[in-house]
Amino acid sequence: MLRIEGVTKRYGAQLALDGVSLSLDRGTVTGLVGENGAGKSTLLNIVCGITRPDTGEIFLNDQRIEPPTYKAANTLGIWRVFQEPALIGGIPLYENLFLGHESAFSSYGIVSHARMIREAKRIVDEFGIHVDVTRLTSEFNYSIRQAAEAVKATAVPDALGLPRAFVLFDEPTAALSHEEVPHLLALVKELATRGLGVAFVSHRLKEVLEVCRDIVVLKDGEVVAQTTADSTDEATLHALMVGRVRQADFHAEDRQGRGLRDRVVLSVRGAGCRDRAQHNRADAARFVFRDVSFDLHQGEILGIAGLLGSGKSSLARSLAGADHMDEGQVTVNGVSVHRASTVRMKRQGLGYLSPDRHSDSLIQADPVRSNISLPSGERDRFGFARWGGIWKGRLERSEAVSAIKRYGIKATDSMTISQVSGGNQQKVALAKWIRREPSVLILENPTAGVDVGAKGEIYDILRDLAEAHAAVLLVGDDLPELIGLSDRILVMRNGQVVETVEASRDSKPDEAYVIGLMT
Amino acid sequence: MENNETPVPGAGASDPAAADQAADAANLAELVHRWGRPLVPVLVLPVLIVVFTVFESRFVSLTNLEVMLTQAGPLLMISLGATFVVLMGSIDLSVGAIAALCAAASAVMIEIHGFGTVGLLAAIVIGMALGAFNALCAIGLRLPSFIVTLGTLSVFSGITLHILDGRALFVYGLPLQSIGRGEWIPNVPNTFLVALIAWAFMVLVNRYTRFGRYLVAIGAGEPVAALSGVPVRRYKALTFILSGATAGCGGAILLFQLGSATPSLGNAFLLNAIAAIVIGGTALSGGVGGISRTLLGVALLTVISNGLNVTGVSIFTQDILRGAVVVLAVLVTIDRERMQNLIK
Repeated sequence: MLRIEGVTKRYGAQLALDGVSLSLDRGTVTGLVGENGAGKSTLLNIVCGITRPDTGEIFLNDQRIEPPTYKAANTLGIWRVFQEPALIGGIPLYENLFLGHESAFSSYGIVSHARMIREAKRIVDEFGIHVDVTRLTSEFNYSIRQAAEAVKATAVPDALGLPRAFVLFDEPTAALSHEEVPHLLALVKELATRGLGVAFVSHRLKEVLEVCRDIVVLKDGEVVAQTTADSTDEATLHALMVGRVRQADFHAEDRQGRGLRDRVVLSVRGAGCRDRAQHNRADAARFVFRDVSFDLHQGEILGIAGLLGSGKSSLARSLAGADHMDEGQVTVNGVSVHRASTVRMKRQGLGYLSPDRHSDSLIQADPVRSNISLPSGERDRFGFARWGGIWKGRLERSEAVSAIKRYGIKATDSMTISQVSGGNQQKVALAKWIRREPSVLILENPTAGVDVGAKGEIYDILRDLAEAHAAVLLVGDDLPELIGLSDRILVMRNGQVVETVEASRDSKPDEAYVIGLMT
Repeated sequence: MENNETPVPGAGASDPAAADQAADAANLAELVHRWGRPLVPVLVLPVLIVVFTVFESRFVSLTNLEVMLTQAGPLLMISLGATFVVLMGSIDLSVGAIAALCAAASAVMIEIHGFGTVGLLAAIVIGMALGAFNALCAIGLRLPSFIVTLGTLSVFSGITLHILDGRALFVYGLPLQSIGRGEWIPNVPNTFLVALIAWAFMVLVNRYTRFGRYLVAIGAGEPVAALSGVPVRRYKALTFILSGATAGCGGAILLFQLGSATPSLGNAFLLNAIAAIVIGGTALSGGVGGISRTLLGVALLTVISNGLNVTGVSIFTQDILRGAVVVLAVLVTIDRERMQNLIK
C-alpha cells in the first residue's frame, strides 16, 4: 500500500497542496480528478520524487520513504507515465524499456542486448502489444510509445526482481485518438489485475468512472471527496471538482449584455490546423481542428468549451497568430488577415493571453511596469516609443502605477513578476492588453490558479471590457465560469465545433448538458 | 521553480502602512538581489590592481596604463555588439573572425586599390553584411546561433586567409592617421576613446530605447515577447547586424594600432569577448546583465592579462589563470539556480 499523509506544498504565494492524505492499494485503479491547478500533477511529482513536499510523509508498506529523485522512486517501485512519453526517440524500444537499469542485464560491465531484447519481447507480448522491440522508438506512433512506457513499469521490476510497482498515469488519454483510448484503458485495467497499484489522473470523467474503483477529488490543493466509481456519477464528480454551483452574482450576470449582434469584429470561416506535434508525425493528415466557423460580435463574450485535446487551445493560439493556420479565412474588423502573425494580429487590435502565465504571458524576471509596456512599443497613442525608438520611461512608470491602482494590483511597479501572487499576476497580464483598448481579446483559462477574490475582480474587468464594446473570446475548462460569463458557447469535440449553445442572461444552459456535448 | 523568498507585500494586509513597509522591504531585497552579484567584479578590480602593484610597481606607471588602454580598446569595441547578442539569449562566436576579415578587406582596399577613407568605412559596412549573413542563417533557417556562428567563424577566417593570401599586409597609406593614432587626451589613445564613446552610446541604447528593452525581453522570455506581438525575428536580425558592425569597427581600430592586417588578427578576440561579457555579469542564458557591465569585464580581463605579463608570470601559467578567472566569474556573477533549467 502506498500512503500519503498530510502533504503540503507551497509555490511562492500559491498553496499547491494543503494537507493531502490518501492511499493507493495494490490491485486497484484509483482515480484522481480535479480542475486545472487543483494540485494533481504536484501530488504525482511528490510521490515519484520529482518534487519535495514542504511537510507531510509518504509511506510504502508502512515504511516511510523519501525518494530524492525519480530514479530512486523507480527502485522503490513507483513509476510515472508522463503526459508526453519520456522515452528517447533515437534508441531501440527495448533499450528504452530498461533505460537506467541495464546493470541487471550485464556481467563484468558488458550489457547483454540479446537478453534485454528477449525480456522486452516477452513483456510486450504479454500485454498484447505486438511490435518489433528492436526498432527505433521514434518510428512508433504516440499510443504505442505511451503503452510501452506503461509496460516499462512492470518490465523493470520483473527483470530486477523488485516488488510489484505503483504506476501513476497523468492524463494518459489526452493525446490519444478515439480508437486508441480503449486499448489504453484495457492496459490500465490489466496492470491492476496483475497486482500493481495504479493512479489514474484524467480530465475525462467518463474514463475515470470506467477504469477506476476508488476516486479521489482534489480541489485547490485539498482532498474534497473520496468515493467509489459505483457510488457516484459524472455530474456529481464534476460538481465536487468545481466545488461550487454557478452563481449569477459571482459572474456578474446582471451586467451581461447581448453584444451588438450586427457588428462583427472577428469572423472565422473554415479554419483548420494540421497536427504538427512530433509524436503524430506518423499520421500527418490529422487535424487539431478543422472547419471551424463563427462570428464574434462587439461587446460579446463568446465561450469555447471542450476537453483537453478538443482543439480549443490550438484554435485560440492560431487566431492570435502564434501558430500557423493551414486552412480558412480570418477577418478582423473587416480586414482579412493573411499569413497571420502575433505582430499582425496585434496591429489589427487583437490581444491574446496564454493560459501559461509562467512562461508565456509574463516575463517573470522583469518588473511589473515593463511587462505592462511590452506589447506597446509603437509610436501610436498606446505606445511607449518616441521618435528614434527612445523609450518613454516616465510614461511607462505612470501607466503602470495607474493600472496598479485601477485593478487593485497588490504590487509596486518595480517589483518583478515572480514576487507577485497569481491573481495579481493575471491582472498585470490583463492590464497590458486592456490599456491598448483591443477590439478582440482572446483569453484562455484566465482565472486558473487564481484565488476566489481575484476571480471576482477579473470577472468584473471582463464585464467592463464587454461594456466598452470589446469582444472577448473566452477559452476555458472551468464550465461554471464559462457558462456564467459567456453570451454564447461554442462546444468543441475532436477538433470540430459540435454545437453553439445560447447562454444569455436568462437562459443559461445546464452544466451537465454542456458536458454531454463535450464528451 | 520559483525560489524567490521575497515576501509578497500586501498579501492579506489590509492596512496600507503595513503594505508600504512590506513593499519597502521587498524593494531592498530586490536591490540586493539585482546589484549584489554584479558588484563583485567592481570589488575584485581594485584588489587585483593592488596585488599587481605590490609585485611590480611599474604596473601603475603611466606608460603601462596607456598600454592597457590600447589593449582594452579593440576588445571593448568588439564585445559591444556581442553583448547585445548574448543579452538576447543567442551567441555570436564569429566576432573575432569578422574583425579580422573587415581589417583585411579594409587593408586591401586602402593599400592596393587606394580607396582611402572609404576603405576604412567599408570595414563597418562589411561587418554589417557579415552580421546580416549570420542573422540569415540563424533566424531565416532557424538554426541555433551557436552552430551558425561556429561555422561562420571558420568561413570568415578562411576568407580572410584568401584576401591576404595568408600573409600580413602592411598598410602605409592609412587615412585619418592623426585621429586614429593620436591622443586627444594625454595618455589615452583615441582608439580607446572611440570604443569608450561607443560603449556609452550603447549603454543608452540598452537602457532607454525600444531596441535595447526588447532585446532584454527576448532574452528573458522569448515566448512572452512573441505572444505580445513583438517582432522577435526582426530584432534578432538587427542585433546580429549590430554585432557585425561593432566587430567591423574593432577591426578598423586594430588596423590603426598594428598598421597591418594579419590572418590571425581576430583569434584572441573570440574567447576574450565572450569572457569579458560573462565576467561582467551578463548571463549566457540571456535577459540578465547589460552593456554597462561589459566595460567591467573588459577592464578585469585587461588588468589580469597585462598584470600577469608585467609581473613576469610564465606565459603558460597565464593561460591557466585566465581560464580559472572566467570560471570563477561565472560562479559568482550568475544566478546558477536559474541556469540549472537551461543546461541539460
